[in-house]
Amino acid sequence: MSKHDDTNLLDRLNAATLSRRSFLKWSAAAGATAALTTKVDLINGIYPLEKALAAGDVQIMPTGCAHNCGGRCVLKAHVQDGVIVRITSDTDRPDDPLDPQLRACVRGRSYRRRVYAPDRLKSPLRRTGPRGSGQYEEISWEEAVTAVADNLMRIKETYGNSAIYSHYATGAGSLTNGSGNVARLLDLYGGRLGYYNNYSWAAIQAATPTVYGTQNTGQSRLDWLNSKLILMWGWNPAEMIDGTNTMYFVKRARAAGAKTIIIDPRHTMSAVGLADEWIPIRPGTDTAMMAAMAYVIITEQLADEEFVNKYALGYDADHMPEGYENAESFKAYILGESDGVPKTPAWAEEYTGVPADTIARIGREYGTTKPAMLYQGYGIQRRAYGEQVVRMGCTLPVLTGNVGVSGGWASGIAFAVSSESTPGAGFPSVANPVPYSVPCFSYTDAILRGKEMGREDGIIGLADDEQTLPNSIKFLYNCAGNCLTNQHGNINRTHEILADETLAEFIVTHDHFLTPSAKMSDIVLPACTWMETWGMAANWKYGPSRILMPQVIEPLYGTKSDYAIAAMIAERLGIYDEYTGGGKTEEDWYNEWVDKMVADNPTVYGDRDSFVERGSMTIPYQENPPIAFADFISDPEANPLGTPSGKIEIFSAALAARNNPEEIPAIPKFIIEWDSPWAPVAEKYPLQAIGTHYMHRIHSTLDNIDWMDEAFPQRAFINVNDAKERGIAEGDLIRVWNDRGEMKIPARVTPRIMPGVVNIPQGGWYSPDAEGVDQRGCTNVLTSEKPTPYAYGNTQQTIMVQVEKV
Amino acid sequence: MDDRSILYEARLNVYALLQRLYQAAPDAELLGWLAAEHPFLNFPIELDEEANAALLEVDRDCVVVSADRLVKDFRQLYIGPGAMRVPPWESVYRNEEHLLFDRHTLQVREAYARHGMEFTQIYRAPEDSLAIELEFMKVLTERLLRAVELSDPEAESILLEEQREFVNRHLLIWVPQFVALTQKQAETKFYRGLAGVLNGFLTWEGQTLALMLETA
Repeated sequence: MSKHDDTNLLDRLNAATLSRRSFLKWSAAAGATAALTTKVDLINGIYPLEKALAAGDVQIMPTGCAHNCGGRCVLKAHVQDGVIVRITSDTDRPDDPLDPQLRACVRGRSYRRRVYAPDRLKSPLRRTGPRGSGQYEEISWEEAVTAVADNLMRIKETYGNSAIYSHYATGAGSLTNGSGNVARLLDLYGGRLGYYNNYSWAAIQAATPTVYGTQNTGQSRLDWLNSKLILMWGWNPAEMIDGTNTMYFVKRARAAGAKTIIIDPRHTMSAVGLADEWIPIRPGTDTAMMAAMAYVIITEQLADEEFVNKYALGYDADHMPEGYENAESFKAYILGESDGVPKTPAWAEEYTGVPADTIARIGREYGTTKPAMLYQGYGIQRRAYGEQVVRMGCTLPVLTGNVGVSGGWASGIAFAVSSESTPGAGFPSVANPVPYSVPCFSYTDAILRGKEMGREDGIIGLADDEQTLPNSIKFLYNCAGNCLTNQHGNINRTHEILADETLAEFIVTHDHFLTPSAKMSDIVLPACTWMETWGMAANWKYGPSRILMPQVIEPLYGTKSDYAIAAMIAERLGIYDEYTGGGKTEEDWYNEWVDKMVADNPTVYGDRDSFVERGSMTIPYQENPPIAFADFISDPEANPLGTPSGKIEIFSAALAARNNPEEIPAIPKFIIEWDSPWAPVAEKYPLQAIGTHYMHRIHSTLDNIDWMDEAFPQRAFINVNDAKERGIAEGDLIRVWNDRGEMKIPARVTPRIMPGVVNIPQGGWYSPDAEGVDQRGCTNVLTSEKPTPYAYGNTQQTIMVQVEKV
Repeated sequence: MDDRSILYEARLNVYALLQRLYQAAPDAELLGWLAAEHPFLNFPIELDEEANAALLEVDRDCVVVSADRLVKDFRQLYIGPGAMRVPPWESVYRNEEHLLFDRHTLQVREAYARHGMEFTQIYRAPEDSLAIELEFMKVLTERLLRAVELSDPEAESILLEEQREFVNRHLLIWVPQFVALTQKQAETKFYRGLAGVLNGFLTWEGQTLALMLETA
């Protein structure tokens, strides 16, 4: 600087750009005002330079992806100086059928986009406009949790605990994050109206036990390698992820000689990558095709009648349950002896759109190939009469003797028997002191008319002298979920109900983003992601594994785990010590759980340090896994099923007792859906719509991840013929509507979907314009809130629509 | 006061003003001061024509606009809740993924560390927000003044070098996009104009710092 020619500096800087006089005047003015005082964000001196220079060191930390698809996968966070710079998965060890990789898909690998999204919630919010307006002001944690606690106390005092409800929510499943934290808080505070069922497989869970007395009717995926034929019925594991590494086992089964046939309205990713044949079928008609297959199997003498009548009730007139000797048997229904309509392939073609000879061929293949699996997906039972397809899918394996045999499969879909679970740990359980539960799909009714809801609405837990719930829902808690609105049937109706502040008086949400459900809330609390706290996850359904999820980075922006938020509320409710076990942090719990798991199961987990270092653990599969019902098949007298008769109940006396044969028949039947091509609604709305799981997201989680949108844009998939009729070309903006609502969405014109069917992948975030027309393709603007008749399950795949070019 | 000090002081005050206005919306007191003292009308630096128009736009709006309106616009633009219209972080503009916390955040963190500074919310929020980057430039300018005072040309040289690097490798790369987006999205003339001032000032900074170091 000594060389500077100071005197001419300003001139050299170009006199035209500087105004010396205003420099001085303005400088003095600016310096003189206290109004310009700023908050200091940079502080001096404490950051060691060596640390910055060492920033190149990358530490790889094990964590996981514990959202609610069917998988729970390993993620590895590459952390550089407190920042996640990269995410990889379980790829540095070989795949092995006895200990397969827990490899994540694109969803988990996109996680940086979620953690570091600019639009994450950063501060607690209080609503300042009408519910749904998205108008909020930032408030302190103190104010926010006080508002939640005050309203809990007020509503408990005014109405009682049964007016408090925490809705089904599965956006986070890492123990210290997720809705369980709120359930535990409310249970310690005197309880809440509970719920049962879920949005995934209510009909499976209710209907499978009517046949087998249990939900555990499947077996280890390792046994699939012994099958000769796998009917993948409406099942798309490559996209919906039915167990972390299920695709791998399907591939192994094919390599071992199994033929795979996909029956699905869509030519899915699984059809492309895992199937020998694709049979397109109209949605909601699967039971008709199965009935026609039964017709072929029975009339061509392929049915193992000796087997059926030994193990099951209700197949033919000679094997009916006591008291129902003259009721309609399964065989009578199939052959048309009772209703005059033989369920022939030609009859089924009318409904299914599948050529009769194809149906007959598949019936013969399934009837003659031993052993064979009929494996169902979940979407086919999220329908008007979802129970029927489940019960029919349980019946065909009985006809063909595929129950209790290796390589067979007893029911369409269910949990596997065997030791496929790993011992885990978790928060101490607390019983809910309130006895009542509502089917979760009827929760809006419990807001609107809870005090009128009784057993006929599916309410359970009522005392003998109680006819209805004592309360409607007044306090609505939504922790880590988007089922309040976005994922619930009939979103426009749902919004009307939630918008009325005299019904649900207080709504609170914990989330990472301002989701459509969060926008209906009075207080929104910003949760940290599981990468910012301590937790763990376990496999769902298949593959006995545990994934440790230690804290990878600090909670951003002062966000907190669901546990920490609930603990703050517990403090104001006077139950802090009970809730936190005497003040434990997330890390304290995590360490306690790991210690317990290792101490209780040394042979499973080995020593603590190596388990923690590895971060995940799969119990190697058994070479010869147990076969569901093998003991029952070998000795039915000694090993009766859990059904009332102890046998397989093709005819269910319990269902017959419901006295609603049209909608709850005692034997599985094809029932035409209330919204279908054969219902009056089809005149106005001739196309069937479905909302499938999409590679873009896990339900609605990750819908806001823009680069997933690049790879998997939200579009309405429509058949070329239907598009041509309507003058719709690829990429055109189309209008999809029915009496419940309307959306605008780009069209994907494709031969990879059944004519007459439109697919709008579920989970798009409801984004209405000023006229209430959704701009994002949220399937639930079109769906109904009407539950299935027996399970009270969701029916969000039963939709009729019309489509036109905008 | 010598020419260098005059220059540094002017820059310091511009940084102080811009940093404050991008940290939060002005309260009634500050808005009153802006309306009474007209710092934008009497801007200490001759900016280009476009920026001059922006200076006038802000200045006029200071007299008319309400503090509430500015709070609303500032929140919509830069805060949220949910999706803000104009994310105020460098990394959002510099990686394809439009994410926070990328290598540019770490570079900025390193620059602060080279001068013994650390973000108060380190690890809990990204340090490459506009207000913090402006604060960094402000602190370095304070130190330049001090270096002149102590006749420490070596320090002055290091500080100017750092400022030039920081402006050229960070602010001037992403702020133009931030400014364009703000000008499209802002509902008040105040924030539209302020963005123009910011752009003009940083352009001037780039040229000025280059010239100053050329004289070294």
